[in-house]
Amino acid sequence: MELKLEHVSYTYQPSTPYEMKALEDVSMTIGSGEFIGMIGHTGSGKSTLVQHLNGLLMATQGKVLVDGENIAGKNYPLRELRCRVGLVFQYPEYQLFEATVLEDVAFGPKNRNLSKEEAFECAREAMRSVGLDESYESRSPFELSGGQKRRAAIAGILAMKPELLVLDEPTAGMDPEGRGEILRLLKRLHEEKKISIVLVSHSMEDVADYAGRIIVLDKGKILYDDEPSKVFVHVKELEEIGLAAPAVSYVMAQLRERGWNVAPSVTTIDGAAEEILREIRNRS
Amino acid sequence: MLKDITLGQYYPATSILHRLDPRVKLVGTLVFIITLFAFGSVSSYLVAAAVLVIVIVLSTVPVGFILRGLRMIFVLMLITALLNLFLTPGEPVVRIWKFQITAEGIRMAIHMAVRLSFLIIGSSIMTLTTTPNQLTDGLETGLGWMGRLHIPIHEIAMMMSIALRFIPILMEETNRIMSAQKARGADFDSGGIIRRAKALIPLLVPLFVSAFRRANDLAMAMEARGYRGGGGRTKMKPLIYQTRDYVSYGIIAGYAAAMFLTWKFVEIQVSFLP
Amino acid sequence: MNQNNIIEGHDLTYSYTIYDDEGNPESDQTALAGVDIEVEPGQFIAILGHNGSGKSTLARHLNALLTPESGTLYVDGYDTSDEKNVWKIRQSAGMVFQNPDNQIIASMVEEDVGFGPENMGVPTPQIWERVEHALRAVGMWKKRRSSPNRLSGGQKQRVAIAGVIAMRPRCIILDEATAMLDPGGRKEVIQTILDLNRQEKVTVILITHYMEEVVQADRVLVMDHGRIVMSGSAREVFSRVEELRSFRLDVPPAAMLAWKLKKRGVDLPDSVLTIEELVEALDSL
Repeated sequence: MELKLEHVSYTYQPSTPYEMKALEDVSMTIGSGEFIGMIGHTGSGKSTLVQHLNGLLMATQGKVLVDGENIAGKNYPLRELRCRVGLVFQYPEYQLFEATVLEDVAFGPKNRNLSKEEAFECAREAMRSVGLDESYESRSPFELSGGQKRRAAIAGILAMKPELLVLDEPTAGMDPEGRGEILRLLKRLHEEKKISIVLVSHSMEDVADYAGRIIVLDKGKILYDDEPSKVFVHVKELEEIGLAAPAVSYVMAQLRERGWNVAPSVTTIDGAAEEILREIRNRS
Repeated sequence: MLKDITLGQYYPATSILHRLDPRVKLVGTLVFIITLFAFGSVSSYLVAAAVLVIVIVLSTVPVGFILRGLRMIFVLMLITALLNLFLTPGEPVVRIWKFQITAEGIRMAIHMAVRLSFLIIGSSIMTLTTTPNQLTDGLETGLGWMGRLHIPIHEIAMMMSIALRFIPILMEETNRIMSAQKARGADFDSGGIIRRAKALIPLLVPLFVSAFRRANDLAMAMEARGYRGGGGRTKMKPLIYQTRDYVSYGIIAGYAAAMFLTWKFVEIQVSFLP
Repeated sequence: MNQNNIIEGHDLTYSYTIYDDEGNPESDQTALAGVDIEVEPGQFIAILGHNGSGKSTLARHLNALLTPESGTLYVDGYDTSDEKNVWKIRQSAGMVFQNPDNQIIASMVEEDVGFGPENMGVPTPQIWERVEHALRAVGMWKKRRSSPNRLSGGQKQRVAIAGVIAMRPRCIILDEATAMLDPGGRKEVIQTILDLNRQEKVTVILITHYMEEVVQADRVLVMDHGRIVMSGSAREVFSRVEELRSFRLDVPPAAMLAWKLKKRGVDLPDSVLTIEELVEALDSL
C-alpha cells in the first residue's frame, strides 16, 4: 500500500484558549516495504502524526491518501484501514485487558469479523512471530514480565495482519536486552513478512541501526526526510532542536575536524570501526 | 461536553472573594442553601437574588462564564420542574390526557426551579473563586472538630485533593486507551446499549488496572516522603482568619436574618400565580 | 561496622513470594541473594542491572520500604530492621521513583515540595524556607505556582527531587527515575543530581539502565540475579565489555567502538569512555 500525506495540518482544540497547532503542512509518502525511523523530541508532533496514518485523527487541513483514496471521504472504511495500518501506542502493555494472552491478541482479528477459530489462528501466528510460544496462550497477560507484556501487546496489532506497522517508542522504559529484542523483532518482521515499518523514537542509536530512511520532525514540521547517513551529518542542527545524533556521528565529525579522512555518513558502530581501521591503514 | 461544566472549575483572579478564607465561603454557601430551602417565599427570593448579584459583581468572574456552567444543569432542572408540575397533588388546573397540572404543581415547579438555579449559581461562585486545594484545606480545618467524633476528616480531605490531582491524568489516560483500542478495531460508537456497554470492557479493564497501579505507586511515594496520616503534621499554608473573614461572617449572619425576616413578615402577592 | 558510612549493608537477602491462582504461596523468587554494600557520605554511586536483577529491591531497602530477610542494613547509622527507625531513615534517605506522574501528590508545585516537611512536622516558616531552597536547587523556582500537569517529564522529576531535598536528606536514591523520560529530560535530571551531589554534598545513588548516565559516577555497581557482580569506577567497569554483556547490559557507544577497534588490533588504552577520549586517543596514535 502507498500512504500519502498532502499538506497535512492539525490543530488541537481549535478556536479555544487551549488551541495548539501540532502539525503544520506535512507532506510525505510511505511506500511498500519501507523501514522509516521518525525522530523528534517530546511535543514535536510525532505522536499526532502517527495517529493520522490510521485515521484516528483527521487532518484539519490537507489530505491523507491511501492508495490514492482520501480517508476523510464519507464512506471510507476506516475500521479496515486500522487493520491495514497497525498502530502500536507508547507503553502498549497498558491496553491489555483479556483473561488470557491468546484472547487478548485475538481481540483485533475478532473486530475484523473473523470467526473465533480464524481469529485465534491469526493470534497464534502473531504470538509465534513475537516469540511467545503455546505455553503463553492460556496465561493471564497481567502476570507476564514487562518485556513479555509488551511483545504480547505488539502481537495484538500483528494479529490484524497489517501491511504497515507504526510503533510509537516501542522500547520506552526497557532495559538494553529488552530494547534489542524488540528492535530485532521489527527487523525480522520487515525482512521476512515484508511489513512496512514506521518506528517513532528519540533514540538515534536505535533508528540509525535499522531504518533505511529517517524523518526528523520539529515543531510540527518535517525538518529532514532522507537516508540516515545524510540526516545525521547535520549534527549541529539536530542538537539545536534538542536531539542528538548517534554517538558515532560525533566521533566521525570530531575526527574529521582533526583532519582524518573518514566518511561523515557512517552511523553504526561496526561501520565506524571499519572506517577508522581503513583510515589508520591509509595513514601508516 | 465535559468541558462546559463550570461547576467545580476555578477561575483565577484576585477579587475579595478569591482572597476570603475558604471556611468562610463554605459556611456562606451552606447558609445560603439552607435559607433558600427553609425560608422560601417570593420576597425572600428577592433578597437572595440581590445577594447573588452583589456576590457575582464582587467575584469579577464574567457572567457568561458562570451561566455557561448552568447549561448542562438546565436539563436536570427541567426534569425536576416537570416532575413537580405533574406529580404534585392538589386542585387541577389543566388536564392533558391522563395527567393533570395542579395549582400546587405550578407553585412547586417554580419554587424548585428558583431554588435549584440559585443553589447552583451560589455554589459555582464558591468553586469559581476557590482553588480545589483551598477547598479541601477549608474542609479539613473547618471540619477538624469532626475528628473527635472519629470521622477521619484529614483522610477524607487528603483523598479529595489526590482525586482532584489525578482527574486530568485519568481523563488523558482514558483518551489514550480508547485510541489504542480503536487502533485494534474496537468500536465505541455504534450498536445498541448492550453492545456499547460490552464495548467498554476493553477500555475499563486497562483503566482500572492502571488506576490501581498508580494508587500503589502513589502510596509508596507518600510513605517514602514520611507520610503517616494526619497526626504530627504541620501545614505549609495554614488557614488564619483575617479581619475581612470576621466581617464576612457578620454579613452572612445578617443575610440569614434578613432572609428569615422577609420570609416571616413580607408577603408579595404575584397576581398571575394561582 | 564503619560508623562513617552513610549506607552499610552486609549479606542482605530478600525474596518475593509468588502466589498461585487460589492465593496460596507457590514459590519464592529471590530478589537479593547476599548483597554487601558500603557507601561513604558525598559519593555518587550508580547501580546498573537489567530488569529483574534486584536493583529496585535494593533501592527499596535503602529507604526502609522493605526490610531484609537476613543480613544487616544501616542507613545513616540507623538499623532498618528496627521499626522505630523507619521515619528517621526515610528522612535521611529520600527516594525518587520511576513514574513522574505517580509521585507528585499536590496540584501545585510548591505545595508538593512542602509535603515532606509537613509530614515531618516542620514549623510553617521553615517549610517555606526549605521549599524555596529546594526549588532553587533544582531550577524550578519560577514554576512554583504551576500545576504539575503542565510540566514536562523532566521538570516533574525535578519537582520530585525538590520534594526529597526539602526533607534535608543526606542521601537521595533515584530508582530508574529517568526511565520514562526523553533524552532532554534525562539530561536535565542527571545534571540536577550532579549539581546536588557537588554543591550540596548529597550522597546520590542512581539506579538506571542507561549507560551514558553513569559515566560521571564515583563508583558503578552492576547487579545480576540479586548479587553485586561488578564494582569499580565507570572506566574499570566499562572496559570489561564481554562481562557486561553476559549480564545483559550494554556499554556506552564510544566505549563499545573503542573495544571493537582494540579487538581488531588498534592500540588504544583500556580506559576509553567518552567520545572526546576516543577521538583524543585515536588522534594521538
